[in-house]
Amino acid sequence: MTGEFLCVYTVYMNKHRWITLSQSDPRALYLQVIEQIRRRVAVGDLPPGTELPSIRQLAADLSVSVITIKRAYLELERDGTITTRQGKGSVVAEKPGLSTAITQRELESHLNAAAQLGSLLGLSKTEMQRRMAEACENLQRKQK
Amino acid sequence: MSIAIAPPHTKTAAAALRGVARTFKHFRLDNIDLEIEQGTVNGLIGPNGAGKSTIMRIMMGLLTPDTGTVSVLGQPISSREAGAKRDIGFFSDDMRLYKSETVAFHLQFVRSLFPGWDEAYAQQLLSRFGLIAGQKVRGLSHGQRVKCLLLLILARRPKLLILDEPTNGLDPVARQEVLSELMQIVSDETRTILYSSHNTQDVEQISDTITFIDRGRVIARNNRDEFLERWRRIRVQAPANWQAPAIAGLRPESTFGNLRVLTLDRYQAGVEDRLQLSGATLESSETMSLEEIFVAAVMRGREENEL
Amino acid sequence: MNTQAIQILFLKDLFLSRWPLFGYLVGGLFSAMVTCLPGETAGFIGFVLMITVTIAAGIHLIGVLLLAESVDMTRTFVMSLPVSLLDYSIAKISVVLVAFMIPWLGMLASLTVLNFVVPEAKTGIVAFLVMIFLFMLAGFCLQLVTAVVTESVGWTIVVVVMGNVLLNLFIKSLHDHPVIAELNRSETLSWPPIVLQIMTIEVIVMSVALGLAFLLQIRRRDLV
Repeated sequence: MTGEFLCVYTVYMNKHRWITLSQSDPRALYLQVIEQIRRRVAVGDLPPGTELPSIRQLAADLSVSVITIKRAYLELERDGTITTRQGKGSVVAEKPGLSTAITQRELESHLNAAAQLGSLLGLSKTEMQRRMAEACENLQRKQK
Repeated sequence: MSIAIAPPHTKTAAAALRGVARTFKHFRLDNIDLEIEQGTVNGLIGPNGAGKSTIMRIMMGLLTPDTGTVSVLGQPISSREAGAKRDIGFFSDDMRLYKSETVAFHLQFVRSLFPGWDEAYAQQLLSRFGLIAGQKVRGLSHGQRVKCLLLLILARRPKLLILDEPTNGLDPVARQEVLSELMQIVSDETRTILYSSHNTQDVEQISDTITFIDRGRVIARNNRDEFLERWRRIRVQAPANWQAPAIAGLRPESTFGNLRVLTLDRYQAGVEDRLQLSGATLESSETMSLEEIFVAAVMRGREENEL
Repeated sequence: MNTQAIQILFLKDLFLSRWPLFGYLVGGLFSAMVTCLPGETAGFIGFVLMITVTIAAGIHLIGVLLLAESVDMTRTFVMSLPVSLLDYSIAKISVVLVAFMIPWLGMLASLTVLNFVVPEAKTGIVAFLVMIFLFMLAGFCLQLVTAVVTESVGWTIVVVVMGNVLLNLFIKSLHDHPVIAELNRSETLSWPPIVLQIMTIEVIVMSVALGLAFLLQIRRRDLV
């Protein structure tokens, strides 16, 4: 647990932004924050129990207003992605079930879209499977 | 037996102006009521000449108002008192350093006046901002000069920052460096920022509370998200003789043939229905960017004033 | 009143004007020595040099220390620091005066010493010199108060020019005055009443000018 905690904070110290906010993205900034935190939780970069930075600290690091982060954390608490403990900040919730469900839905829609594109390109099922395997291997290689 | 209930804890005000007014030869600042809550980032937006700089200078005690009270960090402000300035960092677009002297000279000069100076942080900022201690101010570019001034402010760890157009004329890289450094202050809830700009994008990004100023008066003041949520631009198609229903805060903006564009400053569910009922066909109802809200608010304020 | 702040501001301004100060001090001492070279022409040239150095020093220092702060807007920077208007005024007026007095005193002192040391020099002339130097100091104080009130280079130069004209008239009338002319030829230094009267008037003018400058500074409504 401490290992992960240190990991998240080392990322901050290096300013490797694992949340990147886009000015040109028409969606409100707080929505971007919510989505990116949900995604990190879903893929396991933020395991359950990881301490999230305080609202003020995250606002300072991302150069956005405090109310933006407050709102994002409020939403994330409401949908169960994070838990806020009185006076002790927020942590990633122990029950990743909900976020997994969200990511499952996302995966479904991505796979459907990929299937459609594949058929537009005239790729066969085998070809699509090969491409999928290739993508997984690339990801594994990158994660090493 | 009744139990006396203590009033809710009032948030500490980092600064408060009440009924402040000042007349100049060609400009008048009129009845300004402004309160800055501690721990917040406050944006002051206004066109050029609206009075932003005047308000900030009055807050610093550099200008004396004709009427009204000014209190900053709990102390009344006047030109006689220097005490409050120890905890305030003021930046103004037209502030200049001594051209013939070096950055290091200014660091040493300011340091000698502030017991709370953080030398380690100052050195960090020097390298972060890409400034050279031995360089004369004369040789600095505009962006470097701004960063140097901000360094001199930030290294004192002020409780309140009053910044008059700090990002004016900065290239995008410098702007990011400056904003990101300023936002570090936000992580401390006892420190407050008030800054003015006519760049609404900056303000939209980092402010908690926003105040609009035009022609010496406060036009509107609200929490940033409230602004963005309450304003709408509504486009309808309506015949020539159509009159907009009397909905609070609804104003016509423009007309083009059958197309009517209106703005609304306090959105409530059901507005679109009422418009439909009044005989107009709804085309769209969209949120507005802060810049659009600002322009609309200013225009309304000017129209109201002319009546 | 914050004496530490006043000190820091005072030293800062001295530091800022270090090069002109050094230059005028050296120039002044050089001029003083020229006056003691043999021959009347040398004496005359030296004298003219000294007056030039003094006038130039006055304008330059007022320009650098007083007028530049409003033109260059460094005053906004200084007033954003924890200094009150009183601190600023005390530091500013005293440093401008002290800065001017460095070359001024350098010249007066060296001339006095040279007059006692050089055998051909008539010691009595020291009184004459003191009156002239006090006149120049009073003139400087008038330039100072003009700069404080008007914040204008133009008006300050007007006062400088008028002062210069008056200085020449003053020197001429002193020269022609029988008592003073007598004094200038004597080997002993003495202070007849006319000399003391003139000196008193000069000191009064200085004090009034400085006092006025100071009062006007601290009663400013706006710091910038």
